[in-house]
Amino acid sequence: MGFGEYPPEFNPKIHGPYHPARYYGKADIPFGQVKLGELAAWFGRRSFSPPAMVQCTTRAYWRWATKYLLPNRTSAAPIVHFTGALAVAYYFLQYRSHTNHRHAKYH
Amino acid sequence: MLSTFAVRSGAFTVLLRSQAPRVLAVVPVGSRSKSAAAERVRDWEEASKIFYGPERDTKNFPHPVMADRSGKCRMGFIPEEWFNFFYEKTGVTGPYVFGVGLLTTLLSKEIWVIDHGFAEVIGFYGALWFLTRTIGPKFANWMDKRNETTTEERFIKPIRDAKETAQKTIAVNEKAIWREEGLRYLWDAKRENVGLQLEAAYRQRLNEIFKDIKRRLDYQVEVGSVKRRFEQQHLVNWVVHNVKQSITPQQETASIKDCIANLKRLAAANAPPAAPAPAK
Repeated sequence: MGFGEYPPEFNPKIHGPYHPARYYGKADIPFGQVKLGELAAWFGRRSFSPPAMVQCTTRAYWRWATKYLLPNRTSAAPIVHFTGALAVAYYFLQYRSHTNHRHAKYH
Repeated sequence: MLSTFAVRSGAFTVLLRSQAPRVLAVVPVGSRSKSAAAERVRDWEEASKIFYGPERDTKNFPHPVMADRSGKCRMGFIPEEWFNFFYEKTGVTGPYVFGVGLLTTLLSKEIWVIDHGFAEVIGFYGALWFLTRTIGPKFANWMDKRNETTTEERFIKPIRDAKETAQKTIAVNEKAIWREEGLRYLWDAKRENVGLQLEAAYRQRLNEIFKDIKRRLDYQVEVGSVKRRFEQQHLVNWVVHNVKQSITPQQETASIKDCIANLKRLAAANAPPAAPAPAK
């Protein structure tokens, strides 16, 4: 699978129109329903190859966007999500300079 | 050549669109499948066959639908699903305890350092909260209206217009077909009309011939009768003239004398009986 191509598992005759938020591979247990003891096995079944990570991120973005950003009547939630995520990202990007302003040396 | 390209490229569609739909040519049945509309319909049917065929699994992969509202959130931005995830394991207060505990940990361990930038967080999110509460509903209403007008202008109206144009074209073409069918009757009527005209001309000529012959025959009859009358008159005149010439004066006086004698005899024979003598 290269750039701009559908996943090899995608079959329009079965899955219908392509939806970028959907995972067309074999479905696993959702993360929220995994028991603590099976967590390691669950992560072991995940693929951490760069293309898989990119696909996962893209799916997550589209899942978030279709749920919060693209509905007919959008709430303020996506704005808060976006600005909040940006703020947290920038905070940790400049984390070293923030730690210089700590009030206590030992916690 | 250039003009053909210009027309095909759609550069003059504004000019062409303003004209009423009309039939440019009668399209034979064979080439009907080559029109743009027919091609689009065929593409649509082909896509429907692929996407909604018998193999389609609508249970696990339902058709993606645009939601009407954003996903449910608590406190404006935390997804409802996260609270549900905690609810099964820790109850209602669990997620709130977890959130407060997380915040306390971040602050007490000084992972989130309270520095000069902290005021910006309070100010920014305070302002966002305030604006959402005050002008949020108005803004949402304005946005919804704008959305509706945009949808109407860009999607619904063009489709409606295209449908109307297509309906008009179909109506015009159907009328043309109907007229084409009517032409057969018109042809028959015209042929009948010509036949009637021919019949009328034939009868008029017959009548003329009849009148001419009758006039000539009448002339012949008239000529014969005039001739006969003249001969008769002439003979009568001639006889009378000759008779008058042949009478001599002695004959005339003799005949008068005879006449008078006859009259006297007649008067004596027819005399009325003698009337009694009038009293004196």
